[in-house]
Amino acid sequence: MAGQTNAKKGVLDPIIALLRWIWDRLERTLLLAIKLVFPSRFISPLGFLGMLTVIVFLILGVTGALLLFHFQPIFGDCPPAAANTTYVPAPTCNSAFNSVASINNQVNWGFLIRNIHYQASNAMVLLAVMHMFYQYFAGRYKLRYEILWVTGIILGVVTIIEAYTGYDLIFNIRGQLAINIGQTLTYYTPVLGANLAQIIFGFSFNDLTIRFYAFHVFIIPIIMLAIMSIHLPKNLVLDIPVASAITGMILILGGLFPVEVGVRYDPNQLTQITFPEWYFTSLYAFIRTQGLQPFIAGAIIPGVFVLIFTVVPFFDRGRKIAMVDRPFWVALGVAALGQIAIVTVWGFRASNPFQPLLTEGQLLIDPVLFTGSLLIATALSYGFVYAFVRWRRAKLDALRAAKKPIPYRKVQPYLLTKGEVYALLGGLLLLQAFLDVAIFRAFLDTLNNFALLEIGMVLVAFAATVHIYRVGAQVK
Amino acid sequence: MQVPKKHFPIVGLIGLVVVAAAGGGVYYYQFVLSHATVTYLPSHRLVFMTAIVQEERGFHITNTAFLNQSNLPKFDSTSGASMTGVNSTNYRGESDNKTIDAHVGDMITFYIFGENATSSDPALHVSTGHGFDIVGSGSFTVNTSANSPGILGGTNPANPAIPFGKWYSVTVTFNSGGSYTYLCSIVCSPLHGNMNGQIVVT
Repeated sequence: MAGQTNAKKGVLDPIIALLRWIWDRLERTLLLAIKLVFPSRFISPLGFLGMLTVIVFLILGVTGALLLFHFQPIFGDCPPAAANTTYVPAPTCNSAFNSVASINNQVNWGFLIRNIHYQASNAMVLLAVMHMFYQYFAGRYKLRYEILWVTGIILGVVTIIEAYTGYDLIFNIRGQLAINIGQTLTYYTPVLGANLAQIIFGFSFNDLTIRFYAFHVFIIPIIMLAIMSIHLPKNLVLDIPVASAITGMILILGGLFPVEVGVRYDPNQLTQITFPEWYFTSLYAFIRTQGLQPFIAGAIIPGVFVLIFTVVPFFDRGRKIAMVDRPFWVALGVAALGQIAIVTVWGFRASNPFQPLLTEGQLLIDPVLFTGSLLIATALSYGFVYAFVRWRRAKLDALRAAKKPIPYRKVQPYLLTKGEVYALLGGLLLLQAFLDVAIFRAFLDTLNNFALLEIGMVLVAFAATVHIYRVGAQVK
Repeated sequence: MQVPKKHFPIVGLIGLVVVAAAGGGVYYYQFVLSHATVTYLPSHRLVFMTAIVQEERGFHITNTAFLNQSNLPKFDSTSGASMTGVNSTNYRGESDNKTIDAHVGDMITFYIFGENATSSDPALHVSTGHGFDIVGSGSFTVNTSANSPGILGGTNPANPAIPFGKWYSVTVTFNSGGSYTYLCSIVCSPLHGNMNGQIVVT
């Protein structure tokens, strides 16, 4: 019959036709404008750290949404205050903390979700910082990526603020320390200080809780999404094994180092010494430095640091991208990393840096010791790296002048044999099957840490399986 | 297609060892080790305190430590406990410097130094020292020994358990959970009734 084809009809044809129909219509949407590349071989994750940050952002969105079902942004107002008395809320009125404790201890799966949310927040900050430094050292902003660079820096700062509002919401003493510092810094803002503090922190504990809740779950994420719409490039690399491994590692960390609820914040009691999250200890060190004005320590210094990074692409105008051709900028980047490292460590230490911070008497840091160590670390890291890059450059120039080939080590790829591929795939599948049983048993025995750790291990094992499979596909 | 040369399968072997270690680790920690209940080994705690009239601070814990040896430090009422050569580990107690935490079965040795009020107000100088007693719903035992000779509950203002300028030591084992109160048992000032603290045994 005319028009009939010889192609065999398959049972899946209607489904394939439906998928094709949907795909054709999706081309009218924004969704397919983003070009996702799924690499068929291993490529360094350093090149797509940004995409990994987005994946962690999605994990935070999903786990955060689940936490919303049980979190109560309430503090105070119980029992009602008597007229004409100074109202001091009872510690039991810290419903925000109580609800977090309930999520952690009573709500089904609550422990898992909260731990994933916490570890993912740390991972997002870390990945964002790593992403920024990789792009900086690789000189990517020279390839007409200046707008991506600037929006990226803003996105990084907003990410830190988002993390800040998040851990304040627990209303434990660590949250209280962060709130107190944030509020004090805002008050010290010239001219606008008092008004700004009232707008952000409100007039009471209840105001504060509900405002930070609004910032954390809606206002800041919306701002982040808006900036992301400019920051995301059109071409994105989505390496499923690496994304799966990162997710798995977040879960494993949650299982191994479960986050504690902490000590409940009671406004009637003096609190113990505590620390901010690790990404804020640097700021904490500046604030604790004797004689430094709070606004200068907490706002101007970090502000200048961020500003320098923001304007880098507009000063580093040379055409060359390789690190060996940019000694000044590479040394500057390493010096910045050195600064961040030493100041972060200072934040955890007492006035005597060889002692941990335990009592209030140890809070103040000696400015001479602090700035001295900071300057020495910066100067040394800058000097050594600058000299090293210049030496490398001179060596390459000498070779080029002598018309000698530039030596570089060619790494021979290790090719898996067929036997290795089968053995590894078999072993990994067995491991996953065993882990599935172990997870099931862990839930029956309410061993939450084990369950979280093992789900993470399954994701890492899945990543390894997919990777070995794609490597194995190239082996005869 | 790349054809691998014949080589020793080092990556494959290491991979299999990692897979086996992961599976074996999970098996051992989840199925071999017991997780049924959290148990605490009874520990011996040392609590160092000062006792002054309530108007000027009351009882105040200055240090807390675990004693990691069976015999108590040498003690005399003039110089207190001699900690030289004693195997102990300091730990952080409650931030109010009054509340003591312990587990059931724990032994606590109190070392309390009596201090006279610094104020010249005669109302704060009605006794020559403080007393020490523990009350609570649960059960506890006092273990009197040469290095911790104190007893509980002295009420004689002329012969106080903790005379000003002297050390006092008593050792107590807590046999059941609950909240206990330690208190001064000699009327020493107008706020004497508030000179106490909590021992929370879980």
